[in-house]
Order: sequence, then structure tokens, then C-alpha cells
Amino acid sequence: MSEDDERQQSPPSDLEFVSNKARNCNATGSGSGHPEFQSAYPDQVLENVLENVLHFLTSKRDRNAASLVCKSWYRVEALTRSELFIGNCYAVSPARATARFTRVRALQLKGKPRFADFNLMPPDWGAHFNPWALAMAKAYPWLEKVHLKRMTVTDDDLATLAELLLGFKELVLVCCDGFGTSGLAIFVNKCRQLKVLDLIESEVSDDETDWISCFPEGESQLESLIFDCVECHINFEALERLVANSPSLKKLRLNRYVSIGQLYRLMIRAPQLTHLGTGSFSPSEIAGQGDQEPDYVNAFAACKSLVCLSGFREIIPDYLPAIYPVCANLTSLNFSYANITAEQLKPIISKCHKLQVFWVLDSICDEGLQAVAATCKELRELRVFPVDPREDGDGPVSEVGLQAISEGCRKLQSILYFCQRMTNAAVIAMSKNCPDLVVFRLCIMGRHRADPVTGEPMDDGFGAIVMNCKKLTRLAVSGLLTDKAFDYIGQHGKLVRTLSVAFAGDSDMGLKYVLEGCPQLQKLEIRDSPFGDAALRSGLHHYYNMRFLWMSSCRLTPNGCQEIARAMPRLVVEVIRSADEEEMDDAVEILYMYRSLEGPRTDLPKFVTIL
Amino acid sequence: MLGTERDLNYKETELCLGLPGGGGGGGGGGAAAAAAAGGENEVESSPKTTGKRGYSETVDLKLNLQSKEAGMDLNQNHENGTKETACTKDPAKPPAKAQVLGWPPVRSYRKNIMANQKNSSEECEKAAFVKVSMDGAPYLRKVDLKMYNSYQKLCDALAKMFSSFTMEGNYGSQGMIDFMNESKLMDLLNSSDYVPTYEDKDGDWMLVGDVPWEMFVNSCKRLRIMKGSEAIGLAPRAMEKCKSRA
Repeated sequence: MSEDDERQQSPPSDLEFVSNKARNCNATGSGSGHPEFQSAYPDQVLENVLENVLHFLTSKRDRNAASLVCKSWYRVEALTRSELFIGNCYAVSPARATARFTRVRALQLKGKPRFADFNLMPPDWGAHFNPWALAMAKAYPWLEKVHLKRMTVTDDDLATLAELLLGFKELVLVCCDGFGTSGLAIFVNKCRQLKVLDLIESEVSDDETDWISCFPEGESQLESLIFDCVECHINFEALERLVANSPSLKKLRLNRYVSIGQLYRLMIRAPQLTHLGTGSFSPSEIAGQGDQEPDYVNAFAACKSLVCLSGFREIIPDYLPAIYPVCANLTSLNFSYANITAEQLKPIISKCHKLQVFWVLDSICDEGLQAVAATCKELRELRVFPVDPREDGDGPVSEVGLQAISEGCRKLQSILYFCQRMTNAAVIAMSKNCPDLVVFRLCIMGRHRADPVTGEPMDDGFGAIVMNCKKLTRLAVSGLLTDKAFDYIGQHGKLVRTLSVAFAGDSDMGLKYVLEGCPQLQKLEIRDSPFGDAALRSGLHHYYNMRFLWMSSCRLTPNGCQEIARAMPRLVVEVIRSADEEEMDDAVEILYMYRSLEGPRTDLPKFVTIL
Repeated sequence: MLGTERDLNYKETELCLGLPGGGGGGGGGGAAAAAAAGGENEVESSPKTTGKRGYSETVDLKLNLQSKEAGMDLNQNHENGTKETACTKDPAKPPAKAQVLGWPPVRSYRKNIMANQKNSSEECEKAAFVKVSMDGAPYLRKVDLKMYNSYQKLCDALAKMFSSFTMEGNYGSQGMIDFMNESKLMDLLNSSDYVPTYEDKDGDWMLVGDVPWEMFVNSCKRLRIMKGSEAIGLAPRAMEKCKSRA
């Protein structure tokens, strides 16, 4: 059998035969120019093998590792990478990305740093999708999926995607802005193969365009339609038609302009739903015409596949019992916009034995959390948001709730907990009771708040978390913290990749401990902490391994930042000031620095200087 | 801690603190904050809250002054009023801290939604005054619908108000007009007695008693007490309901 034949055979058998051959040929995998091989054949064979094998590699870390083996592997890996993930849109240019990876089907891009969500950065900083949209349209006409987070997307960009990418199937926009309903209208109209349109926590401007009506008539392949963040009225009749024409629809998350009566009508048309966002969950304002209320319980009972429930944007708690039939099957429940009490929660949560993900408001109080702890033994992720997001508001949840959760939900992996008071004891208890914790984010809303029982800083609590939770990769700290806390993190937080710090620490030592002690650190965001230039210098050995460093309202000076910029040419060091300030003064308001192959970006707004 | 001090210096100036006296605390302050942060988003809480927060520290000192500043424009006086109330309500609480930009780290998206929810529930707590006119009466009255919890109580109050006229009300046990009985309804409407009607949010004139009390309170814009015979025009809707229930 000649080797020509082998190349033409289908992958599996080809693979077995040729891989043996490859081993016999003593192939070390290096590229061209091997004296033992007389022709290009073995290289081509090898590349063929690699191509087949690498198709199975999906994890981006594995792929990155594979691409470093040698040039041949680099080349083949680039050919076979179909999902491209770029964690910082400024780390690499569209041109470079499309040049290296030529067969990409799915693109995932992240833009602004997370602290931009809290108004810490002036708007129009950047992260424009536009250059990427144009590049993709040219380089990947077969592109099927785009997933963006914290990027600015314009209506034109949406039009570009829809018009130039013929087989486009999936658009997911998380925390994005810059577009409106008219962009959506064009997009949904032109994307005839659309399966997924997920708009999550994005800002969509109301151009008063009826975008729902713009979906094409007739049967649709829609599998997921999420628009709960769209703050404008929608054409309900058109939506009803769309849902009726979408037999594959599994995920539907409605916005708050959909009343419970309308929800009913949609649910009875789509009992196959697995994910449902209920919209307002209250009746419309139009006075009830004395009609019978629809049988909501029945509608929920008919949805036998429902596992994920959210919405409840303007909930009237009287209607809550309607969801009883689905509670036993729920794995995910999002009540984080529902201002309900513990009493209103209990009958629901007591039925949710399979619940793994629970998002809720602190209106349920410690008592509500105790009820959660009593039933939800499978809980993996808990997020408790504040009804009153102020520093000295009422504190309906406290260390009591956290303790209860730690005792009841032993499998907990991820927690985000907003509170007004917390004790070291409760945090230590959680560190011991929940050894599987991967994400621990505690936000004590009062700045510099000590343990109310002991008067001590919160160092020991967070210390226990990094010591006892051996799988921890993400940590957010708060409360009164000295450098000691950071010493603990540096010593024990060996797997920590993301660290968020606010109003903490005493001196440069705090930051030094972390930069010197945490080899896996990728994303470090710090605000209002007394870390200065000396501390910044201590991270020089590590900054190329990080995605970014954010430091705002710390003790940095332009000179200190300049030093870093000079020492590390592949680092982009941005100094960002408030939009109305003039030139840089002695203090650096915001430092945002990140590794990049491209050098200073060309779309700088006036308030950003690159050192 | 130095960090804290620095915060106060920085953040105080960045906040949306309006003019002393709080006039347009939301608006003017918002602009200031926007300038500081360069953002078009409202900074923290609603203007009301911000007004309270920013000045509770200074209000104690200014109480006397404020009462003297009667000459200032009405807005400011109104704001002063609320701040003073806030102070006297919680004398034990220390002055509230000014809110720091971007803290606590809750996304503006979520903050806006919670603020909207709060506003709508706060509206529910406010009074619901509506004008009441009666055909033939020389002047209008006003009633606070929130003061009553049923149609019967409302009609009793209206009857007292316009005591020279009698009011016929066929309010059944549930406090709603007994629409089941077509002939009773026609009697009512044909009589020269007066019936209460109201204008709802959509601008339609309706017979009082159509809908559950709560819904009525939320949708009623004004009341008009008219002669039964004149209310016939409203009756067709009522008649339709009768028929649809029969």
C-alpha cells in the first residue's frame, strides 16, 4: 500500500496504520529539514496524523501546549483550531489572529476589564468589536458562532455579521453595549440559520424598532432566545408566532414587559423548554376584565424538561405557587430580581432537592438561607445579591446565613455573598465545611469593616479559605484587611488565578506577597488600596504571564508605571484618568496593563495615555 | 488609615453631591458625578437617597439656617424638608457615609432594576388622591383612595362628602357591583339616583365596581358622580359582562 493511498483514506483507519508507520520512521515531530527523511512524505504524513488527532483536542490549554511542541505542530494546530478564544481583545490584532488561524468556526472575545461594570472607567474606553467584525467577515465567511463579553458592538457590526456570514448560527452578547433594537432587527432578519440569540446583561438602546417581528416567517431553527435584559416593549403576537414556529426552542428568557398572562400563552406552546425566564411574573396593568386567570400551575406542570428558571422581574408573590410542579427537577433557580421574604421562599425551596445553582436577593434574610441549607444538598453555586446596595444599608444577611450554608451545602463550589456584617468564625467554618470551593467572593459592603464580634481584621477568615480550600482559583476579599491577609494568600493561594481587592492592605508588602507568591495569577484587580510603585516592581517577573493588572486609586505614580513600561516592552501600560481631568498629575488614577503582541492600540480615547 | 483618608479626599469630590440645600440633588449632582466619572450612568442610588446621604452630616449644623432660608426656591425647601425628616426619624444612627463610586460592586444594570422596583413599590405607599366631581355640585373634592379598602367604604365617604345627594350602591359581599343581575343593574341605571363612575388609565369612563378594589385604586384617575340615567352610556360594557357570565 503506497503512502498516497493512506492519505486518502478516512481518518480512523488511516490513523491506526499511519501512526505505527510514523513511530517506525523515528519521527520526532520536528519540521522540515530532517536529513533522515528523503522526501516530504513523512512530514505530510505526520501532519495528516496530527491534523486528525488534533481535531479531538478541544481544550484551549491543551491546544496552546500542543502548538508549542514544534513548528509542524504549531502549523497543524493552527489549521485545526476551530474555536478561537481571545481573553483580551487588545492582546492580539484581528489581522494576526486571522493570519494564524485560518479555519475558525467560533470566536470568543472579551473586552473591557471587569471593574468597568462599576463605573470605574469612563465610557468609550474601547473594546470595539468593529475591527473584528470586518476581519471575521473576510477571513471566516463560514463563521458560525460569536461570543462577546464586555465589548462595544454597533448596529452596523450586527448587520455585518448577518449579511456577510451566511451560515451564522449563534450570537451571545454578555455585558455588551453600543447597539439597539434596530441592529437586532436587521440581524434576526438576515440570519436565516440562527439557532441562538442570547443577550445577557447587555445594554440595548430602544430605537422603537419591532425586532421580534423581523424574524423570518415560517419554521425557525431557533434553539435559544434570551432577551431578558432588553428594556423595551416587544410585539407579543409576533413573539407568540415565533415560539409556535420554533419546535427546537429549548431556552427562552423573556424581558419584564411580558406579563404572566402572556407567559402562560408562550408556555403552553413550548412545553419542551428546558430554560425559562419568566419575564415580569405579574399581570399586566390593564384591569382584569373579570376573566378567569389561566391555570398557571398546569402550564408549569406541562414543562417536564424545565431545569432552569429565572426572571421574576416584577414578581407578585401570590403567583409563586404556580412553579411548584417544576421545583423537584430544577437544577438552577434565579430569584435575584425577586424581592421575596423567607416565608415566601420556604415553600418553594423546600421542594428544590436537586438545585445546584441558586441566585437570590438578601431579602430572604438569614432565615431564608437556613431554609436553603436545609434542602439544597446538591448546591454548587450560590449568589446572594443586596436589595439595598449601599454601604450602610440594612443587613438582612450575615454570618449566620453563611454558617448555615456552609453546614448544609457541603458540595458548594462557588459563592458570591453580599452582606453588611461577617465574622472570621463563619468564614473559617465555610473553609472547613466546603473543601470543594473554587470561587469565594465575599463582599462586606461597609469598607474597612472589622469582625463585629472580635473587633479583629478579617485576615484569619480569608487566610483559612486559601489554606483549606485547595482548589480555589478565584478570590474576592473585603472588610478590614491588613498585609497579613495577603501574606496568607501569597503563601497558600497557589492556584489562584483571579483576585479582586478593594480597600485593603497596609503597605506595599501586601501586593508584594501576592505577586511573589501566586504563580497562577492571571487577573488582578485592585482598587483603593495603599500599594505603590515598589509593590508594582515586585511583579515584573510575572506580568507576561498575566492577562491583566488593574489598579485604581492606589499609590502609583507616573514614574513608577513608566518604569514598568520600559522594562517590559510587550506590556501595554495604560494610564486612565477621569474624562474631564487634564494631563496626568502626580498620581495615577487608574492603571490598566496587559500583555499584547501589538503594542499601543490605535483607538485610544483622550483620557488614556499609554506609557 | 491613610487609604481611607485618601478616599474621602478623592471620592467626596467625585460624588454626585448637589448644591447645599440639595436643590436638584439628583440632577445637578448627577451632572457633577458624570463629569467626575466621565460616565453617563447615574452614580449610585436615586436622587432622593443621594440627597439624604450627602447632607445628613451637615444637616445637624444647618437645621437652624435651613428654616431661615424660607426665601429660597421651593425645590430646595422641599429637599430640606425631607432631609430634616430623615434626621429626626433616625437620631440614633450616625451620619450616613457618602457613597463611594462603584462601591459596593453591584453592576449598574442590577442597581437600576432594583431602583425601579423600589420606586414602583414606593409609589404604592404614597397617597392616591383623585378628584371627585358631582354633577350639579358647585365645586370638586379630592379623596385619597388609599384611605379605604373597599368600595362600600369609599361610597360611604363620598356620600358623606356630597351629603345632599343620595347614592345608590349595589355592592355585594365582595364589594363589587352585582352584575349578575341584569334587571337590578338596569333599575339602578334608570333611576334618578346617582352612581359613581371613574376615568381609568386608558382614559375610558367606567362604572365604579367593575374590578377588584386593588386594581381600581391603581387605575382610577378621577371620579365623577353622575345621574344613573346618564351612566347608561357606560352600561353597555357592564351588560356585556353580564351576558358573558350568564
